[in-house]
Amino acid sequence: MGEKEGRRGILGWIFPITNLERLLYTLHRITGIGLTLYLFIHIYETSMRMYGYETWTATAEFLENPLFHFGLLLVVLAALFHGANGIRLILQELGLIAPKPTQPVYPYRKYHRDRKIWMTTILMLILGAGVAVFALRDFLILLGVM
Amino acid sequence: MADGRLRLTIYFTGALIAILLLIHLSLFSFWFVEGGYYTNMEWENVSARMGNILWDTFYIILLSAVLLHSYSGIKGIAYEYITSSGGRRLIDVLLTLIWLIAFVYGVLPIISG
Amino acid sequence: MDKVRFKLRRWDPERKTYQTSEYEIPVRRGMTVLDGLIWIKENIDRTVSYRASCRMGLCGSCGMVINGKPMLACETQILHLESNNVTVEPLYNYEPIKDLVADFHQFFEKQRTIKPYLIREDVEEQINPTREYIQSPEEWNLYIQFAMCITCGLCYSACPTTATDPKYLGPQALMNLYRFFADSRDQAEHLRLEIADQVDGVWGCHLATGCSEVCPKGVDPALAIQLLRKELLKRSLKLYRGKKISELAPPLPPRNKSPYRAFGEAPEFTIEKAEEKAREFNILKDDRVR
Repeated sequence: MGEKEGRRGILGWIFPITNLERLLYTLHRITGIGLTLYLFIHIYETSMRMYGYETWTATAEFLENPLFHFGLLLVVLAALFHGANGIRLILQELGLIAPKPTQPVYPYRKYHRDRKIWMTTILMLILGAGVAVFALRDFLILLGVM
Repeated sequence: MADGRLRLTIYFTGALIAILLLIHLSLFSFWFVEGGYYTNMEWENVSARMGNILWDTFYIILLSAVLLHSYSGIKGIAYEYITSSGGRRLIDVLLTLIWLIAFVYGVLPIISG
Repeated sequence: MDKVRFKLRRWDPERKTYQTSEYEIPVRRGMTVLDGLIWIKENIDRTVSYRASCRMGLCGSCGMVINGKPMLACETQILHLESNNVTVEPLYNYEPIKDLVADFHQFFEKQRTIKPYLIREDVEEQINPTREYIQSPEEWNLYIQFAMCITCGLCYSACPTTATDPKYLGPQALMNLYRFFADSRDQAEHLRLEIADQVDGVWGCHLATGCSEVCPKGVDPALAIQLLRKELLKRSLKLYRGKKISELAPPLPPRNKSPYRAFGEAPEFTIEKAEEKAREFNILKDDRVR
């Protein structure tokens, strides 16, 4: 797919996974596409309200189902990851936390993250995971476990 | 920064969504709302919110931001895959059409009161 | 002596497909993947084609995908891979020519589009230079990291955008663009920002940073792209003030106004004086300088 002039095509979006950011890139893209699909479903689902009380209640009852609840959990987790990683990307991509270039000295380092970048990455991942705890508890209640 | 507009849209709407979506999600949370998800899905509560002009504004801003964000994101991905200028124009037209329909579908239940 | 199995994914230009050849080679400590390929060519299969030149990580010819990661074959020791199977493929995202040799035509074509040379207003001075441009160590530090590039092309192989977008300038070209943008001797800053500000320029990058991870010289193209974006952002917010431009060095002071005069006149040099001095310190054996 898309293999023009020896290019790897869509496979090359995922491989080779060389480092953390490369993995986050792939996850960001997958969650982004997934969330877009969910957005369309969500818009369709909420548009049921236009047809009045009966249709809305029927939709709500149809969605009252462990399978959908689990799907919703995945969507919320994906959104949290996408959001937390997205804030890191805004800060990093615009060069707002970019380190100063320095002359490389042998042995040459792999991708160098200075303290600011590490702090942002870790802080964002922790923040995302922290909100995810809230979401998890809610879905355990929804699934009737708690 | 003409060609950067697509990405800048993603940045700005992304930052906006990060705040608005937390409010949107916390309405469903058992932490903040008595009955959480169940309360939120009730017809009366939804209608009450849709009748409120502040909530209407909130939802229209959130909807526009999310749609703009996803539109720019998907367009960016499509641009990477389809690189001929004709193909890219086709993507522009197609995506704009789909997202406009989605916007209409999304906005109608909000303003219908 | 260990035996290691080499699997080469070879491009057959006549049949236009890849085929895999396997070879078992003896490995000594310190032996690089390139040494292994040379051993195969000398002892087993003379039809194996690869590109290599300096075998010490300076020329950037021997970029290959080794065990799934783009590396320089000459800088990768086989035993450091800690695997009995070594898979060698031609670099990803390049048109293969034969076996492990990749076509760098597009790579250099893109580098050309970013005008990788100093552009100045004093064209006459550039064509017939009289003096050098003054550059402080601080100004030199702004771009020297990006001047370390050996154009090995590993970054293109690791980049996800390059995998589908043939128009994308790619990490190396954008990094090189920043290298000239940041150079205080260059005066075409606005032209360079214009080239960078395209969907297929700086805005094609999604910060996967694979390019910086695989770079064998620690160049960090991802950083260069971020810095370019920062300048573009500054420019769009009307905060861009321009950079400091190097000026020509002032003419040297005339000979009779030597700056060394403060230390006294330099003694006139003659062979006789040198011989005398040498004899004084017992350096000469046969009493002769010549």
